[in-house]
Amino acid sequence: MSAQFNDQLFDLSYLNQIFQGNKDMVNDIIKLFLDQVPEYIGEMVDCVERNDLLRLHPLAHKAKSSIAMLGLKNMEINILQIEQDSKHNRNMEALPNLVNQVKDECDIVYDQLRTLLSTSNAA
Amino acid sequence: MEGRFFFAHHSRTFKSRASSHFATLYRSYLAGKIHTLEHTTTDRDQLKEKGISEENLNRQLSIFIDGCRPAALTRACTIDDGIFRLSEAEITDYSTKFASGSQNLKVLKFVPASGAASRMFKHLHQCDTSNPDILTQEFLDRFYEMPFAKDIQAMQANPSDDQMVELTLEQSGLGYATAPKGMVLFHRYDGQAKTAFEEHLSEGAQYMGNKVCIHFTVPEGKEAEIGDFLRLRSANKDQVYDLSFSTQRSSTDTVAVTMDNQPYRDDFGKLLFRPGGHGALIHNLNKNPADLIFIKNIDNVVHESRIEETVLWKQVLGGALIKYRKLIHDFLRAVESDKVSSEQANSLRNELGLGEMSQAEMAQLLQAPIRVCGMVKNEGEPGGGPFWVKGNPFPQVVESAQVSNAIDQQVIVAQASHFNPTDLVCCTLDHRGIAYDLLEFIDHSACFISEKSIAGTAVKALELPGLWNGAMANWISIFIEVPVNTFNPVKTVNDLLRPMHQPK
Repeated sequence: MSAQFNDQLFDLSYLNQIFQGNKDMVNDIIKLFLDQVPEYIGEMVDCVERNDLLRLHPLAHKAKSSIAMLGLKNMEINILQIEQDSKHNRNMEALPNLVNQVKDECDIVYDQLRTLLSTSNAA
Repeated sequence: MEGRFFFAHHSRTFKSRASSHFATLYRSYLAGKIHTLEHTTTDRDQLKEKGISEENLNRQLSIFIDGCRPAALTRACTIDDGIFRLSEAEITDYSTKFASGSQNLKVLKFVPASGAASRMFKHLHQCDTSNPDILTQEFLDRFYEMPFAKDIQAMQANPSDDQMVELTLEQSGLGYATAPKGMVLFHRYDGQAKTAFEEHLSEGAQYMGNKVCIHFTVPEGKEAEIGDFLRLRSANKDQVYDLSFSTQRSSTDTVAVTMDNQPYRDDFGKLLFRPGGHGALIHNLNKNPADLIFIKNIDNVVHESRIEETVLWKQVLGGALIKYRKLIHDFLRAVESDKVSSEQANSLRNELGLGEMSQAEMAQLLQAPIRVCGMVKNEGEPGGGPFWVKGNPFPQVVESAQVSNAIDQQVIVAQASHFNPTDLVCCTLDHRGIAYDLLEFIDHSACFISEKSIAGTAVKALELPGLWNGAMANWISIFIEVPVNTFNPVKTVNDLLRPMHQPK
């Protein structure tokens, strides 16, 4: 695992800015992220396993805005790449690796977000 | 003359967009994907009786399968970005404009009142007065402040807790469990109490002048009873009341389906149809065209002693509509006679916050009914709110059920600073005084699916585009901030204990 994954991968600056630091509202959005994004990413992994790469782009499109909201910069670049390449049927050989990168990073983000929520609830 | 071409019909730019969802469904139909029901003779008889075509039924069934298209919110409306906050001078100016400008116009008040009062008394239906919940406890503790307490005391001088509930709900008493909401006594006065219906007559008289025209939509089968009651109560007043009534058409009912999208059938094999929500009332509104139509729900009316602020803001909204109506209709008349100047077009473009578009495009866009809607600061009330929606140049009222749970959309919902109190005034006549066909301006894709329970079985129901939501999606919309004091809905009977429903 890359060393960078030990750091906090998400950045809540945008959400804190628009909700003016209201923790409950930010936490609600994090919960929505944890409800929705694992499902999208799971379906993307299934597409790769079935070698059904042209079906990746609508899933990437759905996940894109959620990923951007949480300031997941590196993941946002990858997910955009997946969306565009899958949509235009290009660089298809690179897509499985990109999807796996997104999935690995997501698994770490989920843990980090769950820890944040439990700390926040305990506070 | 480029602009003149657009006056040939009330053809709509947005009409094509609005019906695109159905175009998609039609393509699905051609591709053999649409849900088609094996119609039995009973089905056909049932459809005929309700005035629903087979095509309409199949279209509804397809919507359950394909899902409704969620609203594409781009941002919440805020002050100076979709919602006007008026200065003191503007408030005075608009109310004056209404007083002078409404004299020669056809002014109507349209009050959706089709609902029963059952939900208002929901917490009393199965209450245990020996172990009451908070709302029931409050009802019992403050029973004698209720506007109908005296009527119950006339039947039972010292009612017990059980009798208070029973005589309120049951037919042996006031029968409010099944009464139309408008027939519930709302406010106490010296020597008598008045129903919500009567309070709307009083409110209308405060700003509609000597002739008060009100149209109520009422529950089916209740027109005569309510009409007789109100004609009696409005006789011998200083004003002349012109009251009319209509019911929600059964042809606007929608079919219910099981959770796997099969038509729900009762024990006799009959399809189940349900009222399609307040959006169905666009048909009723369509039959009552006027220069100025004030729309306000039956349960949102205050005690007459506290009506001053409500009346002022009715006049302000009415005055604002008179101003925009004149600007828009003058522009359309000028386009039609080829006398429009670029100053006039630019001025109107700025007033309405329209982006770059040609005069011809403006003329096409502005051939539409106009509405001015009050918006109240968000204080956590549930319901729809004002939002900008992708592709629509005017702000929209969007219900939470219309929004997807995608995070970017939910973030926008959470940012809403205002909500819709359903307090609007509209003009449904064009610049020549001809009534628009309001059905042409509906965004049919703005429906939504809700879950209901029928005899313990979960079913899916289809709600038509809401009256102030999708049914007015392609209208010209202007939103103005109004004080929260003008919004006083009675959702539960206990709301009648709030100060705005009590004598001053």
